[in-house]
Amino acid sequence: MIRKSLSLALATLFLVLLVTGGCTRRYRLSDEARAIPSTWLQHRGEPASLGAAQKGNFNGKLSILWEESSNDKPAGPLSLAHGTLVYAGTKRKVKFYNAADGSYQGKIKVKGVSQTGMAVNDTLGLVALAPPKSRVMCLNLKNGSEVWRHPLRDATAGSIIVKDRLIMSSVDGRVSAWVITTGELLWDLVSESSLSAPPSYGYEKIFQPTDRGGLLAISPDDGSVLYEVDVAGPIVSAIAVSKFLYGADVYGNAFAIDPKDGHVIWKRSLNGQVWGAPAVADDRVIVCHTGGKVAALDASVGTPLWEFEAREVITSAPTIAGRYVVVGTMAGKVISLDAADGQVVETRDLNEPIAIAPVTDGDRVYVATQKGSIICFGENNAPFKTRR
Amino acid sequence: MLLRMTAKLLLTILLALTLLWMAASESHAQIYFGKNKVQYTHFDWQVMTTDHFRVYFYTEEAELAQTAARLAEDSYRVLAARFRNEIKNKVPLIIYSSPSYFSQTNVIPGILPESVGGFTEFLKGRVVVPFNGSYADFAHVIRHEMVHVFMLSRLDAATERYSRIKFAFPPLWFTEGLAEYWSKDWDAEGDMIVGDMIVNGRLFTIPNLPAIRGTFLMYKLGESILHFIDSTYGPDKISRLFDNWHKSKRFEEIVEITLGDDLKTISDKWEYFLKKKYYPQFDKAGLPEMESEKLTNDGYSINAVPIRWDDGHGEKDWIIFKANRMGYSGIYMKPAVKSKRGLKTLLKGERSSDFESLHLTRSDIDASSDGLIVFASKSKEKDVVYLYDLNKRSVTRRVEFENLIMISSPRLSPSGDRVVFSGVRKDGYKDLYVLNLETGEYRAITDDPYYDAGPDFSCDGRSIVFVSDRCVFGPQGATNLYRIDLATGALTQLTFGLFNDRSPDCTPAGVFFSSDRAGFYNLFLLDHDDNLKQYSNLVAGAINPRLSPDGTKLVYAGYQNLQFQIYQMDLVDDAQTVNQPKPTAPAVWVPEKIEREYSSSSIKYDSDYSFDIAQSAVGYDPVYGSIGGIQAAISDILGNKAVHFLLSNTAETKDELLESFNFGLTYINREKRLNWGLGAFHLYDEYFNEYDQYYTERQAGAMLLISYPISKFHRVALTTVSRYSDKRRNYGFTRREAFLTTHFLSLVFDNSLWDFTGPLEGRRYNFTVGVTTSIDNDLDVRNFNRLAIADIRHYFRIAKYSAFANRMFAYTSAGLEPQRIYFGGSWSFRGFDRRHFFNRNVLFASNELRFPLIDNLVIGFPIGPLGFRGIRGALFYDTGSAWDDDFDQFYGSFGAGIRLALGGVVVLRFDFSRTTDYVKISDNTDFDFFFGWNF
Repeated sequence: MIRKSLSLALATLFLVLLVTGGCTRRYRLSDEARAIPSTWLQHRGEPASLGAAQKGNFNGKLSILWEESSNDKPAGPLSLAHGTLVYAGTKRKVKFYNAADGSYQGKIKVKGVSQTGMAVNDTLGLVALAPPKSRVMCLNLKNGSEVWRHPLRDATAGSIIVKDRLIMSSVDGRVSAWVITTGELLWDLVSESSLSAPPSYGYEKIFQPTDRGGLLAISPDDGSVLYEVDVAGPIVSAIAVSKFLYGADVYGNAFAIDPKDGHVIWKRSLNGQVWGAPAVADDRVIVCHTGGKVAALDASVGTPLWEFEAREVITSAPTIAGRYVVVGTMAGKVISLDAADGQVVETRDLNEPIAIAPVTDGDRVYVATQKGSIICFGENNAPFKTRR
Repeated sequence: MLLRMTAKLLLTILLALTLLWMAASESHAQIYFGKNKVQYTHFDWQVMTTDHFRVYFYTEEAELAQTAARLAEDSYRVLAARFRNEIKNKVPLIIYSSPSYFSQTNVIPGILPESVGGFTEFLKGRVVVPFNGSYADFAHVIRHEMVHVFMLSRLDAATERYSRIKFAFPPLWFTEGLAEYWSKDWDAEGDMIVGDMIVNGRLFTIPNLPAIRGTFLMYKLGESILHFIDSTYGPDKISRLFDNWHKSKRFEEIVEITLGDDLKTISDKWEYFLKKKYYPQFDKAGLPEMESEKLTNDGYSINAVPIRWDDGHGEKDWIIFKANRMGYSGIYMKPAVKSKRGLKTLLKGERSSDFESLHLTRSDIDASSDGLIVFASKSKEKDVVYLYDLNKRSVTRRVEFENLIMISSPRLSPSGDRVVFSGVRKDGYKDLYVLNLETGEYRAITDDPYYDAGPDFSCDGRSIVFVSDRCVFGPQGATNLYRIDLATGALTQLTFGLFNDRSPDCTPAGVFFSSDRAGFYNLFLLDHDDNLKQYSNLVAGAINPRLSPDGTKLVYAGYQNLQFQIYQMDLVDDAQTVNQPKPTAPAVWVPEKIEREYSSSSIKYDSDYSFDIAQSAVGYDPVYGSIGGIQAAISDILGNKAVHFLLSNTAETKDELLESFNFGLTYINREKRLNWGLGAFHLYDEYFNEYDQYYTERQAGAMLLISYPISKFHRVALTTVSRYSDKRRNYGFTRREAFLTTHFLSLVFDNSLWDFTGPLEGRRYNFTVGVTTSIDNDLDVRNFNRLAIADIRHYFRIAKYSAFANRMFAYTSAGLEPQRIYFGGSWSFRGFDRRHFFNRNVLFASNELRFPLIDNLVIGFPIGPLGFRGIRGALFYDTGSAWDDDFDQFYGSFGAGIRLALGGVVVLRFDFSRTTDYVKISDNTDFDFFFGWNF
């Protein structure tokens, strides 16, 4: 009887392994993939944060090019690197999908929940794990091995790569810089305030919003504070860097700051909490608030240009793809708006909450739902095979 | 064998869970004692669907349902933004037009205390809310419950997202505190409770909050803590807590990760914050005990009337008051001046169906100097007005109102020929009515959707002064004073502003009332020239002012040291004049409704069933094979109808598999007052008792359950079971087959009042007779068995937490197969083993003195403090006997015990006792640990 039961159990296990065999594949960065340049500015290591990819042919239509189930829930922001969509999941793995056709490329185990997503710099992937693991680590994408690790208490949801260094902030008020390749700690700034927003970079400065409503301008070389400005209420989302620095606080005040000296250029109330970073393109600042409004403001003076009311919670940042704004709602809708006038181009109901900002390479927009579906939107005649 | 035991244990637990669930939710026939939830009213249920809700309502409250839907949708949008979450499925929102109807809900099986203003049920996410006449309160309760719905949804999402089974469960102070904090602004009630704690040094710090778990105090402190966190740590932090929920399995750690401080530090900072807030106010204001004469001391006394009435023994100045002194509400009187004559109890509430509830906090009483007291009480389905004559020391009149469900705050006219009160109709509107005591006729003097309450006749009896939310700030929760002319119906607004003005008392000097217009609730006078004067300046609160008959003193309910008591203060001439806000334009607000048309014909409620529970347990034994079972329960959204299903298998070999299925299927209907149920079953297992030894029995049949509650305290229950029974004794290999029908008829009464460990006052009884007959002619005896049970328990209150309890129990069974019962052990005959007696006749009496030992014990452990509430002691003496055919002799036992309330339904009892045969006392002391309440 016992023998029979054991045999049955082993047979079942074998079948399960056989069926899920594809999912157990380990990701290895190939030389061909390494040659593909990264296109998403926010997480691939370019020193700017705009929430926008203006170059490209995205036409605002939400035609599904491919759709994959990750069998995992997203833990942090998506990123696009080396032609792959990088997806950090709550099951302690980072998964890689071919951005062109959605084919599964493999996974890397990170032994924790990577709430920063994964920043990719050439052959290195950088993640920070949420408590109780509480660490920052660098992985070699070519063989999956760990290059270095350091303790880091509860990192904010995003990281940037500036020159040869990784910049991360953490909830306990630290902003730290490590050499990407060696993990050497270059500097460690301790702010008086706790931090919820990830840092941004531009104008040779790192910009770190604080929970007390301030903004720190930090030298990337030595971590010294170049200036500090009190702007508004607690800022829990990243600053967008363009002509000015653009941000918004949880009270719903959007603002623009002169990156040179921290002088506040304009400030405007949006009447709703803002938890996602603004996106900037064509002298427009796009901000979403949790009450379900998408607002476009004049980037120079802050005057409202248009407003769209989704009447559904929007907690993630908007994304600008070409001439279009794409937002995801917690009720599961993806809405594409004309950036010029806020008119709805298309709405698609995915029926699964979207809490992570969409990413774009300019031609396509990638959305991950809280249930673990990954959907790529773009033109039907896009230059790659559709898997649907 | 161990494995087999495990499998059996699993199945036993599963069965026990089913029985427990059924007992808790089924017809009352399943329960030995207990009070009844009576379905007095038939509701014609309808359903309205909105963007995020399915609103369940009955025809009479259709207008109210549209308002509820609007309030719910508004709350949804606000809370969705705060929680940053959308709820996928439509939330079931069940509306009742009055708290009285709400108490009949079957959504949860237990009896709802009157203090429950609404609830969210977790199994199906149902929100159940009554309307109390105030739209501001309605909006508050709906939003409060919606906070629970969003919180559950948010935690569910976190559980699913991070694939965790074990998650930190938020403490009650957090869940209820957040529900309060995100459903309304901080108000004078909060200041009263928290301010009192601070100035009197009675604050419960965060680690000590379990000591007031579930109380209103805990709600307000929770709200205060979250208010502090929001203002000190940032407005994003509460929402951020839910983002971080996956980062630890301990709530304390999640808080520390999010806020950077541990709970102890937060508690210290919060206390400091409160001291800085309230200490400066204490500089200018006083405490009731220092500024006034305290007239009552016990429990919770909230409403008093000073009268001049001669009791025939020289005592003329009396205070008639309503209080909860001993765990139930009652009406009392005591001399207004220090006197040898003590407190007299006039009437005890919550003990009989005539005075089911005296509405302690919801309704005031009134009395006149000719000895007439008027009050409202719940009596079965509705509230009624009672007149109590002090001269006769009895209730002399009871007035019912055909169209009114609830009644509050009746007041006598100066001439004593009329009574004005506020009443609630079936549609939920709360208006004012005047009852003519001579003719018995009554008429409405207001008829609109506004909240009208606390009426009083003017001194000339020609007009009524009352409280209403019809003012311009009504939608924000304000209530002001109004006067209505009884002859013309002309309405005049007397007070203004975004304040809560309440409990007016018309006197020759003007209208005394209480108001939060100075921060805390204090006492004010609006004189005949419309001058407003403040007569008290107390730091926590003073409400319900009444002028003494000689006009020199003001009697009021003052809040201090966590309770209301009655105080008396001299009227002073130097009362401070207060500016009234400028009169505003007459209010034009009307309750907003959902912008949606619906057709009543297309939305009639049709039982909407869904699963309550579905679970299984399986065990495996290498010798005996596998054993396991499943159980499932479904019920409709209103909880009126339920189906329970149980399936298990007790086979020991594979050959027995097919014939060893045990199943039970029961349908229960609680829609109407007569609860009924039908069931079918097949049971097969091996059993043991002292008489038959080991035997197997197969039973298959059907049953009918009927329970009719006569009142909250009384019920009649009938159970009929027809079954095929095949019993095979293992020793002797005898077999008996029979087709049996059993009828049980029970009369049950229970009005007991409980402490943490068991009943303290009242009585309970259960008389049951049962007859089992065989319908199979093969059996010689058609009279298969008969039984009768009489179980009578009395609880005599000695002091607040002490009682003498007495139990008389008699049992007899006869017939071909009499039902023998085990007797002995901690729950029956102490000092004897649980199976010491196994007989068909029992006569037994138990006597117990119950007394308090420790009220609150907190033991510090390295992992945190562990608190115990209600450690009680007992001295007992039991006597009785059990026999089959010939009476043997009486036995006795005596001893002492300790009872420890471990929280919820778990009570640990430790008894040590000795037995006697009335010739000698045993040498050995029996020690017995047991879980369960006192009898």
